[in-house]
Amino acid sequence: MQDAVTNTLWIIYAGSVILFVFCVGFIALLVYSHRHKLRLQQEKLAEIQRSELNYRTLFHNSLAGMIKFQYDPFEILDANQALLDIFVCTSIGSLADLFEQKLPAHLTSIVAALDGHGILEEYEVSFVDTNNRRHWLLVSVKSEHQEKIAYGVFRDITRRKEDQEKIEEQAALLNKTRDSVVVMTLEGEILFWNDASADMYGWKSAEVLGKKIGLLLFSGDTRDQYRICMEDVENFGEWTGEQTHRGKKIRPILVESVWQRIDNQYRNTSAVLIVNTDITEKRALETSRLYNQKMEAIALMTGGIAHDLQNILAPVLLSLSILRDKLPGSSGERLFETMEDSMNSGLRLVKNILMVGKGISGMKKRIDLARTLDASVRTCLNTMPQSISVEKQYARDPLMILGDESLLNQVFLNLFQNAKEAMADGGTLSIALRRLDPDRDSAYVEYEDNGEAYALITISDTGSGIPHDHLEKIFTPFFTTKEGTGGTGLGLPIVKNIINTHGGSITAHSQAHNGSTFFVALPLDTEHEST
Amino acid sequence: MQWMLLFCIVLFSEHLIQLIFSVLQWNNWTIARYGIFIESIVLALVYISAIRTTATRRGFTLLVILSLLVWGAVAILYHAPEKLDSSAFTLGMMIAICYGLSYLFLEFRHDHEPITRRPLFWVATGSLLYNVGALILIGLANELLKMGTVYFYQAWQVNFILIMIANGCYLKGFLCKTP
Repeated sequence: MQDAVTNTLWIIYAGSVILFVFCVGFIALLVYSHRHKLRLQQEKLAEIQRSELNYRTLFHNSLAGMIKFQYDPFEILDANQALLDIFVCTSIGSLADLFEQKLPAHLTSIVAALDGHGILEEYEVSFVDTNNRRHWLLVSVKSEHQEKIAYGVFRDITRRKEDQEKIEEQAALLNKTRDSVVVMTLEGEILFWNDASADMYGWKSAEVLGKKIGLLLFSGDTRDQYRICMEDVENFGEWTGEQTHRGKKIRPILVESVWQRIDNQYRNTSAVLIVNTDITEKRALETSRLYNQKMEAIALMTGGIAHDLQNILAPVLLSLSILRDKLPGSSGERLFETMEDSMNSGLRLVKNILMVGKGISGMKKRIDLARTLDASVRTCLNTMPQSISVEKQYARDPLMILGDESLLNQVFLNLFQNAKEAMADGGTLSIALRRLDPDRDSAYVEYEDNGEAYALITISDTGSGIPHDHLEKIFTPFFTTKEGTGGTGLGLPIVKNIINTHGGSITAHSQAHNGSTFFVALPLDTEHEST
Repeated sequence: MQWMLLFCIVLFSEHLIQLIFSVLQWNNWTIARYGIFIESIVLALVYISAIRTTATRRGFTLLVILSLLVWGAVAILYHAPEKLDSSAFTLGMMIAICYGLSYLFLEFRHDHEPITRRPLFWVATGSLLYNVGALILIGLANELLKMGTVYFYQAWQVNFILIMIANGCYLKGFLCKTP
């Protein structure tokens, strides 16, 4: 019985003690947790206070103008000194007045943006200060969406704007210059391309920006020039010399080029400034002048020789004729014929030389080019082998010119003859006649663009072609590749001479083993057409 | 603070009357029974007056009313004047424990100052310590009486120790600086 009482008492007291201790522990844990929570919150609060202090320091010491404002209705709540300095104000009140008086339109835009999106970035504001100087500001504002409060940052970009205007003026000047000015990276990527470059090369700025200049202006055989001058630019900072560039048109452009490396120390970047002066025409004129001088010298010399030779050969031919009459039926008849043929050949050669030297005048009359071409084709077809086919393509309207039909006939026969000789294994001779289209044809036909209308005769063959190094010399007197077969080197010079006499031009395009094409441009007789 | 003062006066009065009754050899169980009822109401008022948010206060008030109704029903239904009404006491003590815990949880959510600086924390602590410690003793008081009066008086002495601890806590609450 006593044990039962003891056990019951023990259970009652032990249970009470356990509950009591548990309660004490619980309260202690609660107190500890609350303290810990408070400490964390205090740390957080201290951090917020530090952050607030930092913000205040930043706000008031920032070089950029900063503002806190209510935007509906507009009221400036705070502004830093930098903003007051920008607007030359002494107090927030005067700043608010200035905003409402001088920038009402901008203020409306800012408020509309804040109402709409809650944010406005990189908004440009300009105003004129009391000293009549225009200021440019870049404004970024963001709304808190609480009580229509927003924060704004104003950056004075007047200096930048002025610099930008200066750069734009300089860029405009660069665009006005007649020389091509190109700026590229050291990797050859085009950054700037002025209007003169567009005129010179045919590509607009938008077409070339970002492209590689090495691929754009230099083709296979001139790419070495690019490589060499880039090496010089990288090693020595500059390169000067002549280069052959290609443009949108096929015709190569000869330029006097200056490449200058420009290092930007602030950005640690480098660029290359290229100034190209087109000397294609200048060089062509020089070449033409030299050619003319050479031709004059040759004409003077060969004319003298030919004249003397003609004087020597004429009596010999006359004497041969008399001698032949005096010795009829003799066994030397064949010798006389040979001698007479040789004499006549010699006299023809002399005549040709005199034609090259003195020029050809001829009797000019109004002629139909299609008919003249047809007449020449008919003559040529007699000697043309079967393996060569002739294709003709004439414009429907008759193309009339003022010229000497026999001389032009000589021109066409000469060109057909050359084509025939180039196609020893057969091929196609194509003859085309049409009106010259300056936009389409100026890329590969050289002619004097004086506003006149031209007829364009194209004579193409599918023969062996003319090697590149021969192509430049084919119109030079006495240059021949047919030395063993009786070529005198006077055919094409005479052709050119005749064409020039008619106010036209001849251009040859050819690639070895790929046929040749001769473009003959002759001025049309438009006066008679109109009458 | 006024409610706290009232609470202390109620406590003091109750204990004084019980003491007088016990000196005069009168049955003070009825006093104790109604004393704990009044004590619970005043304690609830103390808590309600300290709760800041209206919604929580309303919720707490509702909880207090419901608990008191249940406690009242139990006290009336199981009324037996010849013995200590331990069921009513136990229920009253459990309600007081619930108040204390609820209040402490509510206070824990507030972070303005350390919880120990608040007077009501000490009231809740004192109330919890007393009620938790004395719950089994009071609940099984009739059983102790059956085992022998000596055991009952021993338990009553322990109860007085717990009352002293609770009073100490209330005193500490009074000494706290009110915010």
